[in-house]
Amino acid sequence: MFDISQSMIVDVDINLAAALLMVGVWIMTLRRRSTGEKADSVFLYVIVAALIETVAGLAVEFFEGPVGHGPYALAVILETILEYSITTELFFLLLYVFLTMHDSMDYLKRRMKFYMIPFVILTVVTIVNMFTGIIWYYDENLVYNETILYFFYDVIRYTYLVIAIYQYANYKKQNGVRFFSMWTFMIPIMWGTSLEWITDCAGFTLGNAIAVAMLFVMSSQKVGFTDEKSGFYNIHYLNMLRENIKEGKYEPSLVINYKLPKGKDLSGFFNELRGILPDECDTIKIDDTNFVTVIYGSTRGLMNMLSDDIQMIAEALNMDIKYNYAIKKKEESPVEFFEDAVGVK
Amino acid sequence: MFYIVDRDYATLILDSSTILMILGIIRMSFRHREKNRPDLDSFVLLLVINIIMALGDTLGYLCEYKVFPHSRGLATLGMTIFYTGFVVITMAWLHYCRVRFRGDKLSDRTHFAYEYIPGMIMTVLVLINVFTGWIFSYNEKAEYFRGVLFIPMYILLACYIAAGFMCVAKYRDNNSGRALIPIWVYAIPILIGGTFTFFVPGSASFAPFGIAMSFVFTHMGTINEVS
Repeated sequence: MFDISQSMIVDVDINLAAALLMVGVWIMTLRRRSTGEKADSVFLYVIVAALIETVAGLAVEFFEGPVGHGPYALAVILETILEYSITTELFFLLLYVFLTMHDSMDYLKRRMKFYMIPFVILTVVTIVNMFTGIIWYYDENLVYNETILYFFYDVIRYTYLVIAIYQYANYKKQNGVRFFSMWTFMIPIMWGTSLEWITDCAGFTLGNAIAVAMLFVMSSQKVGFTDEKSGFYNIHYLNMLRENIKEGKYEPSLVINYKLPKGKDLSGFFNELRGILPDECDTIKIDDTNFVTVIYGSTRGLMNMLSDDIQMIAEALNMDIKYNYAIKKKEESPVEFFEDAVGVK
Repeated sequence: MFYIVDRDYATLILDSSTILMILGIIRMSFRHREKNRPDLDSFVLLLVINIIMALGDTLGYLCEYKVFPHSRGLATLGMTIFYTGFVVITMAWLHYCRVRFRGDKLSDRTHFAYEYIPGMIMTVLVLINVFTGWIFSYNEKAEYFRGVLFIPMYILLACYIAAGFMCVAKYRDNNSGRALIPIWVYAIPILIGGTFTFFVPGSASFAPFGIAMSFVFTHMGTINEVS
């Protein structure tokens, strides 16, 4: 049915490695506990698209020329799936970055119409190409060829990646980004693309698979530092935060300690608390009844507002919520302030 | 003069991608690092050894089955580094599992005397293999041959890897943490990588890539199980 050549073995090796990696990431993502953030469900779509890409990339090696002998239609279908899965992955990656930065569907919906238009165009063009070959095609020897329009096709879909990078860079300037790094995703993609240009082997698929695996590792790290019940950070994060403050990465200015009632359903309180706290803060669960919020940046007048809000929430939920707070003095070092305020050494 | 053939690209791409992936994970591990976590230190050590394996593997594959000055010597050097790393990483894996899942401390040396002796002996045998040829050898044309101790070495490596996974399985049995993924699933990449390397001599080595995948998945997967 098909001959085996060295170059085919090479491409099969590489695509197989990429496919195995994506299958593993997919299984792990399906079975892991969630942080409750909206970005988690979109992340699964990124992985599925990357998985389909690697499997299609592996399958097409056996049917496309010059080694493979078709059938022609199957090669076209597989290549179409491969190209479209790249487009889909980049689209969902953009959504994932948006939701990682702003955990809000409203923010996304406002921009959705704008970003859907190129995606719809790319979908139509991909389907049309199956019958016309206006973007890419197979010649009589089933060798893959690209037309001049492929460049523009690539530009449109990679614009999603460029927008994602821009959004990330903008967000990072204004707020800290704890568990996400665009470079950790971009470097494997650039690496794979460069390898493919230089060697003409399936480097991009593997680079892309590694990039998605890196995303998985980043989000898994976040899950590892998140308490499942409350959705806030856990005690491991507190230890890491202390090290980061020692290294000068963060400078806390206000710490609030909460003592919550035992045996009550606190989910309502947690949701309300998220609504009143500023963006630049971390809330950490010490144990079932003790939580702490660490706030960075300017806190002028903030504690007065928060005190009123916490009182209102406690009354509305009919809960006995005790809290105390500490504001950093100028002469205090961040580490000393943090350790005294939180009560950890 | 050194030259590259088609089959070398798979090695170059796979091994360089493995190293890139591991460097990315090490960077992320250091970015979000807690102090006094010997299990995380052990995990990073595993990854570093994996990089050394990948480098040795690259050197070995690029030089074997080729005739140029010192090709035989370089191939031998590369595969010696690879197999030394392979033996050491399996011992390091067992150590990581014990520290992470059994709470062993480095100061507790009672188990060092026994379980790791075969591994240490095998490490010495790999290092002196250049004189003995008991594990592998190359002829004048840099053609690769397996020695009499090749299969026993693989059996030993499999024992260490299995012992590590048994540690994880026992940890799950003893704890109320949710077992989200069967433990054998984590072993699949390493099994595929090892099987490829064992049954297809001269093919692109999946071993460093498969090992990296197994270890990273086990580490990340079990993080998610602990609340």
